[in-house]
Amino acid sequence: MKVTVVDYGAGNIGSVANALWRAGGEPVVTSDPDRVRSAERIVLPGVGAAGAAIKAIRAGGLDQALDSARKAGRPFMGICVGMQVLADELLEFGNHRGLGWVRGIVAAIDPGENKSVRVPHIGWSEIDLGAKRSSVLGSRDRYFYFCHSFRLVRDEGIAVATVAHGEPYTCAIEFDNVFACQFHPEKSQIAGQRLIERFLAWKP
Amino acid sequence: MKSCSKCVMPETAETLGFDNHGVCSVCRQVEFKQSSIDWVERRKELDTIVSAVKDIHNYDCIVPFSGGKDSTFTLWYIVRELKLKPLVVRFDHGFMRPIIAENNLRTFRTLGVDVHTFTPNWQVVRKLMFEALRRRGDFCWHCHTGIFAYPMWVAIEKQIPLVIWGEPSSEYSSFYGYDETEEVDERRFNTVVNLGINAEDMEGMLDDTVSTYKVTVRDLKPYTYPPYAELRRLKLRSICLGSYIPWDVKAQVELIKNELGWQGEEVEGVPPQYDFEKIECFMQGVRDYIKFLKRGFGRTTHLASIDIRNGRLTRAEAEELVAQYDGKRPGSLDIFLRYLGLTEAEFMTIVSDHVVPPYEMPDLKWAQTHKMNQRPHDFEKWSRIVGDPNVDR
Amino acid sequence: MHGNRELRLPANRIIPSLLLRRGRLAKGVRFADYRDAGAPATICRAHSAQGADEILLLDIEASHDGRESDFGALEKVAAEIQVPLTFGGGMTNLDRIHRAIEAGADKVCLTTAALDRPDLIEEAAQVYGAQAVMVGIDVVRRDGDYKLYDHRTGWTVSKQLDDWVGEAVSRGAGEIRLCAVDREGTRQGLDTTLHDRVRARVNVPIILEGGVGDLDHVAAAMKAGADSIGLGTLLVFSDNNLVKVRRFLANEGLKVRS
Repeated sequence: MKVTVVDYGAGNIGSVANALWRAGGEPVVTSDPDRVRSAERIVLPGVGAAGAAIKAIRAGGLDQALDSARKAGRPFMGICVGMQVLADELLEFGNHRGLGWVRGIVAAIDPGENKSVRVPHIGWSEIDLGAKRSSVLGSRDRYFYFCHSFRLVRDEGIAVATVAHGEPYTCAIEFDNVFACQFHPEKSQIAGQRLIERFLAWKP
Repeated sequence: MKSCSKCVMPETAETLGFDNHGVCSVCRQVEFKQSSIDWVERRKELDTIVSAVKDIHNYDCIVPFSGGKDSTFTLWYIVRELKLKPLVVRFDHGFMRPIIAENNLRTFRTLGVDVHTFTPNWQVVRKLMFEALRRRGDFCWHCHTGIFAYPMWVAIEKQIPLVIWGEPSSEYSSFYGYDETEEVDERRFNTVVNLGINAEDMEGMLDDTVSTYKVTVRDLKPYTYPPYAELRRLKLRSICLGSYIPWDVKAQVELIKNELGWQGEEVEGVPPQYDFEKIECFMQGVRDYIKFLKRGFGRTTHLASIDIRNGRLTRAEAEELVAQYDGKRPGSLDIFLRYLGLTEAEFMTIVSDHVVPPYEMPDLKWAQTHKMNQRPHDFEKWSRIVGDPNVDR
Repeated sequence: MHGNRELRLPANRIIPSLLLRRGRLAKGVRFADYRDAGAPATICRAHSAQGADEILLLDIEASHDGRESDFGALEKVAAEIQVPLTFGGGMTNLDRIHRAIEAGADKVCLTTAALDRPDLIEEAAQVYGAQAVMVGIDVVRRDGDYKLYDHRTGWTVSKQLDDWVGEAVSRGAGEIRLCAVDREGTRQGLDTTLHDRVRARVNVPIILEGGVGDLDHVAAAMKAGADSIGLGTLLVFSDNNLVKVRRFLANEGLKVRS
């Protein structure tokens, strides 16, 4: 099962490719928009700042390639910053325009008054499955690894999981042929591997 | 030290969890197995796996074989029920009892199978035993890893894409649950089997305490798990028969006794009615004794708990058996100490480092007054050969 | 509004803390008297399989001798695991940090490099984000107080612990690795007083290390509020595999990943 990993210089490609391979996939890493456009299945990883990421994606001509692949119905998975860039607006170190696949903005986690809610959100949190059923998220595994300071707000009805780190927020979305998660399946040991296996088998 | 409210396993047992009713996780797993698994569906899954490999290669599958009750039943099932052509792979750990040779001949000749036996370098085994005892309080590292890694190399070498093991670990511990079909793969090797130590680690850890024999990475290949890339290329499946059919030790022992003339044997420190358990290794008594020193329970606790879970024993009866049989120093300890050139005091010191709280280990004086009275009838036949002329003469 | 909802904090973390020396893992008492603790790639393979929440790999030679960090070993480790990996030791500039990230580290731990040049924390956080920058703080007890410690010299540092903690976080450290150096390998238990002192000062996650001898120590520290514990000696010289550690802690009523 071939799966194309989009390389736009945002690091962490190695561990994503490795996790895909361990889950039975055959990862192909590329920064070439043409190869992304014709990919059978796509994973968009991402760490660091969403603003820098979207800039790099556009600079490489990858935004159009990704749009094109999505319209063609190819199964897509975005991870962490790879989920954040799908939004309309990204408020990390300035105000950036995301890919706009998802109505919403990406803003800083609000810890509220409770001192125990730490930012950055680093660690294994238990996710809550939403009312909307997911083909990629199983019902058995609940703990996943998070490592971020910003999150998606106002996503209007495509959430399949939330996480109650402070005020609960969306941590996974799924619609049409798009799945994306704020947490890192490639860093979530067997729970993450099972999720990746389901993504590889997904026929949206 | 608290115990399960249903069986008699204590909190010091590895991986055990307790729920709100004080019932242990293994009891719950077995309850799940007995009530919530669609065994018809599971058996269909097995048929699918098997039909993918049948009659394609020279052998349909590998059956790793010790000669104990589980592997003997597994082999019988593979040949008689699944009608496959297996290659039997035996890893000779160095401590086989005479009964095993007799049982094996009957099993192999009756069923009709090809058998591949591997006996590892004893000089290497001696050093591995000591290092594992020192680091983990468990001298059986060479055996655990050899049994689970060696057959995988044979699979690769002979291009056999299916390995069938016996009981799943969820029958006795909580590394895995019964709600999943555990794949006997590298992850399991590193979780359940190798005590967290791989051959590449051992290579740098071994020293000359036991002997100056030089051990290299080549010598450790039988204990090394093959690279994932090679197993994947072969599309190898490595499964437990007990994930697809309900495991029932009592019924299975009856069956192999009837069908194959399999015979039980008396076992150090265990009530005579359990003559089917762990008969394939004469170091079993030492292994159980170390478990008792570290965790405060022995094999009788384990066996009685299994019987409770299967409705064959009450808790009161179990406690009585445990009081009578657990926690006695076995005669085989003298052979073990001879193998490694240790005194009993040195042995106790090493083990004391690995005690699991809240249990407190008894001392050497206690050990001298709690010796096992019986010696198994074949005790004198258990090899004393150390491989060092200074000791063996 | 926040008060009404059930607060779900991340699970307590159990983190093997591994010392890399001459291509092998080593474990000793107080930075001396090392014993072989296995090959980095295979030990990490086992930890990842057993469910380590994260792995911390520290190149003590690079830091101590001022050599280049062992990025080769790091790469081999990264290929074996599917849990977060933090690498530390000898990353004295951005270029080396970049190499660590490229080799597969998710986070870097800057200890003496940050003490020498605190600007490095900001530079790294700017490029990789605060969540990728951990600052390591080694502490000893001297004259009835906690002092910062430099393992290269074996001496204490004049800067005050509280000041340094505050400065590191304000410069962009997303996490702190707090090590009670004089407890390392002694199996006397974790220094929860030290943890509380630092906890009161900053709001980033803190990994507490130094002194774990048995599982009771881990449970006690977690109950006292130290939610992330670094384990060294415990895993090297005992039969405590991480599955068992986690089960023990769950039995103690602690929230650990299941």
